[in-house]
Amino acid sequence: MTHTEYDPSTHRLGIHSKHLSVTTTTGETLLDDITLNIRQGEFVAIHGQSGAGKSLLATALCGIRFTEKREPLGVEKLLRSKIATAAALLLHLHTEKEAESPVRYQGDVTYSLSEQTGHGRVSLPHDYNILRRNIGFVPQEPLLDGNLTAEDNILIPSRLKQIPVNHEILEEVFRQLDLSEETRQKKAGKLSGGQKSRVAIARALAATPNALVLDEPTANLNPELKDETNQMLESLNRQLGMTVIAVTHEDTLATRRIEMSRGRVVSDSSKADFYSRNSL
Amino acid sequence: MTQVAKLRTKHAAIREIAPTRQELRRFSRTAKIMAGIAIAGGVLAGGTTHQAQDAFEKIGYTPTPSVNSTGAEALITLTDDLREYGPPVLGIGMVAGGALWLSRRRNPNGQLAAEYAITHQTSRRGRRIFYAGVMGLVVGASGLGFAASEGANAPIKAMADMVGADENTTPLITGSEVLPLNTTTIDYPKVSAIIKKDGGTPVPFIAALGHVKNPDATRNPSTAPTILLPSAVIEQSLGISMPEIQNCDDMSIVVGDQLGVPEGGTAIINDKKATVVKTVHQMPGLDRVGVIGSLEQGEKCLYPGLPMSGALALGLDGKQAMLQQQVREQIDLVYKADSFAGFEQRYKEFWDHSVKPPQMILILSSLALGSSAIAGMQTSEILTRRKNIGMLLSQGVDKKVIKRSYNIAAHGDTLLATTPSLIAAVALADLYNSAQFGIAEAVNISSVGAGYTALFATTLGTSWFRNRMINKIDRAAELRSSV
Repeated sequence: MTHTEYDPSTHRLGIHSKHLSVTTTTGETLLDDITLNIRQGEFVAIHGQSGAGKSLLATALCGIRFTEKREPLGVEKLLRSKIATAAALLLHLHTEKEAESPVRYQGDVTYSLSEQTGHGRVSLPHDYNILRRNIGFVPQEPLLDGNLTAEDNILIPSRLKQIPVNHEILEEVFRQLDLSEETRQKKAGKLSGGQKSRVAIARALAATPNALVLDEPTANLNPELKDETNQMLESLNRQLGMTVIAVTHEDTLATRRIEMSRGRVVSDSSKADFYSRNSL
Repeated sequence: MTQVAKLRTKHAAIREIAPTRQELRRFSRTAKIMAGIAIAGGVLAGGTTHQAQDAFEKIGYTPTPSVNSTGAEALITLTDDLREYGPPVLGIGMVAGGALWLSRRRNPNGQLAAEYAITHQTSRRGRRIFYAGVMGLVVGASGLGFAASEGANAPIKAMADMVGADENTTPLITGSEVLPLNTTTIDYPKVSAIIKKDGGTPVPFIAALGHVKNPDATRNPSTAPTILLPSAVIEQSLGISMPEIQNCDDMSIVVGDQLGVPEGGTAIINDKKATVVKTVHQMPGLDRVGVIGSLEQGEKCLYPGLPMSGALALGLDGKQAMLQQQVREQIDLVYKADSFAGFEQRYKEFWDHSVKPPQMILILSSLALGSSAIAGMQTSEILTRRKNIGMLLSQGVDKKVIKRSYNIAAHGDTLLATTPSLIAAVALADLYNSAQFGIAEAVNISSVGAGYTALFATTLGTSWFRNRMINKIDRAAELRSSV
């Protein structure tokens, strides 16, 4: 992958959490005292069983959290229609006692961004917009707009952010993700699960971010594409110096593996050659 | 199958679903405010419907101008302002909309095109039809007030033309500052003496509300603003002979053409036959047709014994102040020496106060109910698309950009609703025109501008709800403040 604008020596993003805890108001601990130092240019894989807190940690590290999915309860199913929405809003219906609780964050998450801060640290919330432009996020579900083409899904976030797209890099991404021109012109709603996942990855990479956070990026891909995607991530990390954090159940080419269980980091093993290779 | 189910089937990638119970709770404040607006709109509409209906029924004849409160004045001003400033606002809206459209077309890969793309993925047809309906109602109601208040002055204007009076300078003396066409009278011999003494020529007139009918028609106006001028004045100005009559069924009248009686035909005025010697095209008033007749014939057959309503002072142009002083000193303090323009203004104010407050209440009630529905549609759209919006936020798109996208889209919908709103407006105008005899309310640029401006203001106001929804979807903001 060749490019002219990206300079890994000056565009790197590190993510650092210090005593990060996430609890519900009912006292359930979702993340427990996570202190991590993900350096600029690292390729980190976060492993763990379902419910270990991997996705929450990933989204917390990049400043995003989606509502957890929940099955509708009782008469709420009846309310799940567009027509009933307004009525439900007006009547403010409560069908059962609250099932989900809002969460509370404690601790600290900071970012080191070489270019903008001169190797200083970026702190929330003042530099949040700068930060958000530098982290690409691939959610567990692709969350594509089915009425738009795959290409529009990929490019629209960058267009909305008014960030110029490096088409040279993007073409390479398309090639590695096996996203042909024909596929890219299809409506996202017509794509297969694997194609959607790849489009979501391409979307995160369209703005050429400094760090990439992926939540189970290869879950819907066939073995061949899983390998290619892993190689692409490794390539992005190694050749561009992009910091990559992947929540996954699969084996990856990551240089560092973090194991989680019940909201805690139970093991954090780094490969010895990582530092020598990247000189960080 | 609901629309949501269709979306799920057709576009499996979209996770557009109605809000969960927890999400509904999070939006509860917005929901309460929306409910408040709906209730207020309902109460306003319900509480004023009777009043508005009553007023609309009364404007067929001369009602008592009971609405002189500050609120009524504000409603009148608002009605006039909507018509006055509506066209330029519409013009600006069209220019801005056209510029945005051109910009988007010229740069399909730009930010504006992307904003358009994210806000135009679901059908907006229903919304535009609703917008058009609300706008059409405002357009129609706005035109009604204008036609009613302006049309009422038509007989007064006709009288000024016939006597060759200058609207602003020719003095006109009436018995009081009370309403024209209500029974206000003068002591004509004394008024005449004053005018003659000052070197002027007095022209007496009777202005009253009569009843005119087309004997061949199934529907007739309820009242006829009747101006009786000396036969010589009519003969000189219109070239029509108004001879002295022996039989009251031989009267001659000039009447508005909306009565439907042709020249040479017979009309019934105050239960007496009269030959229509000329028809004039006046701007019609609500349920009224203007009549101009001979003072001599009228004194004998229509209003025997009725004193003069007023007198013009020809040849004393600009001397209202002098005449005012004389009539008050020599006759009565309530006498008023005014110009035609002042006379018309008083009449217009009377009609403004009679017609425009209920008209504006009708508009406001429509907008209150409409805005509640619009807010509901807008918030529903955001709720069903919150995952898409959340995805954009997760990709680093600023929430301001998303809010702006939806605001521009809403204003675009308003602009696009303007043309179809004409269908509703014309239908409503036809309804008014057929319900009230003689009115010919037209849909014109002023009423269309008023409708656009009213709906634009409504969508602007309700954008607060939509922006609030988008703010709440921004989970990143919650994280930002808590980490």
